[in-house]
Amino acid sequence: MEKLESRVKWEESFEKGQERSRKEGKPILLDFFKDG
Amino acid sequence: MGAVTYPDLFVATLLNEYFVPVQINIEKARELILRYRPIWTPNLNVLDEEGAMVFHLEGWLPPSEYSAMLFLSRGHYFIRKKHYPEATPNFQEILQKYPTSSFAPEAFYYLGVSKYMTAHKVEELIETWKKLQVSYPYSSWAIRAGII
Repeated sequence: MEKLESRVKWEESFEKGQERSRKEGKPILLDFFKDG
Repeated sequence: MGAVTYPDLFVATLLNEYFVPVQINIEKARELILRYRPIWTPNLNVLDEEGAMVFHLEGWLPPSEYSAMLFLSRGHYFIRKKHYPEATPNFQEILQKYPTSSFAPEAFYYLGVSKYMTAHKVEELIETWKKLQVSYPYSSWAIRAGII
């Protein structure tokens, strides 16, 4: 069975995300998750 | 979310194209926890460039609802920036593609707001909100539009 993997290109960190958000003029989608 | 919604091609395309997606483990980000105070996961937050919250949601969403939520939150993002003409198509997209979505009544409400803020035609606001009241009469958004 094919393993389902996220195709979303998540940013490495919030700081890098915010930097890119400012540069590209896009909103940030911040997803807090919990293991397990 | 990781098992069903994020592997969905359309969800991923929307996120990659129109947002900067960031995923943070709730147990490993003390500063962000203090700032946004999440108490439950899944916990989704749409923020502007300065980190100000424009939309917040807790709970799991299947791909179609997640997609509708992305359009709705993108509409809110443009409204906050006062880019009203850019907000409008996002709300229209929900009504055209996801009319049975739980986010559709809110999209209708803010479609009226964004149209009004664009052209300042009160008749357009009234017409849109009347359609909201007919289409989703039992939603809280129809009640909120009851002022007309």
